[in-house]
Amino acid sequence: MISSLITKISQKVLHTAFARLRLLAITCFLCGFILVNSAQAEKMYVFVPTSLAPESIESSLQSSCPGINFQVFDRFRTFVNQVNQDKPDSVLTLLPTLAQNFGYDTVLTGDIEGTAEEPYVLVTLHEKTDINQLTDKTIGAVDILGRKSMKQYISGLLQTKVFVKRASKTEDLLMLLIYGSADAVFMSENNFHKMKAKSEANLIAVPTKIRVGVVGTAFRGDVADKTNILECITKLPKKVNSLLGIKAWRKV
Amino acid sequence: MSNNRWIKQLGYLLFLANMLCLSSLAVSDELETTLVIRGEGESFSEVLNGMTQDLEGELSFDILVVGGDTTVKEVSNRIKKTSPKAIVLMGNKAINLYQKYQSLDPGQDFPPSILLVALYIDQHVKNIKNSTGILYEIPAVTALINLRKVIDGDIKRVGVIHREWMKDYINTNIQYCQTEDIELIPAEVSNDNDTESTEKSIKKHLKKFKKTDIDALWVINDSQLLTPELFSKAWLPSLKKMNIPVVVGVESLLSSRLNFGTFAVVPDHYSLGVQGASILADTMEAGWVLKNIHIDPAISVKKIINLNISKNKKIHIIEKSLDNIDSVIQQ
Repeated sequence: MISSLITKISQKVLHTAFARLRLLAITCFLCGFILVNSAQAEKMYVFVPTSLAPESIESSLQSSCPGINFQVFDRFRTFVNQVNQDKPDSVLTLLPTLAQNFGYDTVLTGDIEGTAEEPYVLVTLHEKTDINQLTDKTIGAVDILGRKSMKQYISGLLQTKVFVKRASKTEDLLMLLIYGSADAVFMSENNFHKMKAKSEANLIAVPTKIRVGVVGTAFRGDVADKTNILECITKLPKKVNSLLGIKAWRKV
Repeated sequence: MSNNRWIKQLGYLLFLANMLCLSSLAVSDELETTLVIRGEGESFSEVLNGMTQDLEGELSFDILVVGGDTTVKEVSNRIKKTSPKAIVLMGNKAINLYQKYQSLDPGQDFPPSILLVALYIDQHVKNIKNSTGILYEIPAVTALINLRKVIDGDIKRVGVIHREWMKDYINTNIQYCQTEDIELIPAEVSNDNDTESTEKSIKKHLKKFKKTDIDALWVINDSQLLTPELFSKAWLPSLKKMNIPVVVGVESLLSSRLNFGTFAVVPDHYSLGVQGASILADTMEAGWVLKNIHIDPAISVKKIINLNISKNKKIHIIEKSLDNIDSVIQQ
């Protein structure tokens, strides 16, 4: 009687132990599976200067494309350094930034009204700026190329030598004007409207004939299978595209 | 034969030594040195990161971290050793030490210096020859524009309590705020350090602000006005009766336990470093001459909100706008 009870108890203990071991094995397998998959998930680094916190853009992209591992940067320098260090599969950033030699090939460009470029304006406070009198003026602009290149880039676009005050976010451009740190700021018309909607300042925008590239998606030279990323990015919801400053995507 | 080999080996050695000398000369030719004298702490490191990353490959940086026991002699020795083209001073300790260093031999030519991460840099600059800097205090207008984006209500009239000596600073802020159609209403407290009279003044001003229906209160970073005693006796009891956003300039004042600040706008330290790098680069391009001595405020900021305090004060927050906020305190 006692021996059969002991046998039953020992059988139960063994059964429980095996069940636990089985559970542990399954957990280990699942963890391994998740880890392997996350390690294999395609990486995309993103740098699109807006007024939004990078986490906010990251979560919008991540929920739209759960299979891609996004990392969003809010500064040009940290983006470039990290891209050079990690060599992610793809990058999503402004076309002028992509034009710097990254070793990435642009495959998609953003689209606004059938074009991959958008109009830019020069914005001043209180007084209208004379676009023919910009030589040696201080122009504020969001940093998308780094210090040296920004100076050349903006001077090139405005076709005269100007001093450039760089800002890390579009919202900082307004502060450059209010503090009198810049004579004018150079920004997309789209961003100007957004800025104007949130400011009571007497901001005056002067249109220029300059059009600057919107965002694009580029792949590292040796990435053969682009299917997942291309499919997901081209199908991003309108709301997410709008965060990136575009209406849709198109192939180059 | 063996003599020849020996001469040949000596030749190689001389050639190598020559190459080493040439390469070190080339490096020092290419990269001129900036001495950074900074305090200890994460904010300073973050500013330094922004600065050095932005000027990577253009300048070499020599860093001297100063503490309570650092002497002027150490600063002097380091300057002699490095012969820097420019000096970046971060924090009050660094600024004070360098000011003392300059006073030892005021007649000499000092390299340009850039002052960062200290309050009232515009005042310090007056006492340091050949210097400029970036204001660490975030102007009210920056904080209020950002507050306006997150709260469901008008921000038209904003109160501020300040000591007498800050009048110029407050006037500059009044002008900035006017640009954004915000009326900054100043209330002055005497310069003396008498806690009792300061307490009375703060209470009186807050009472008046309550009567005149201000939309928000902007609290400036003044350690004399923000002592624990004044907090418990003047600020907190008076603000209990006022359901308005309190805008502060330090994250610690947003703590739910303190129940004081609702919204904070603080400098983005990395961006401050990049802003400093631009001044340094302009100075370098001008042949190490300070080109622009206009002292700008820190342009880029981090925004923090305490939702718990906002809720308790019945301040309506536009939830969607929280996407623009860097840090949200929920509890």
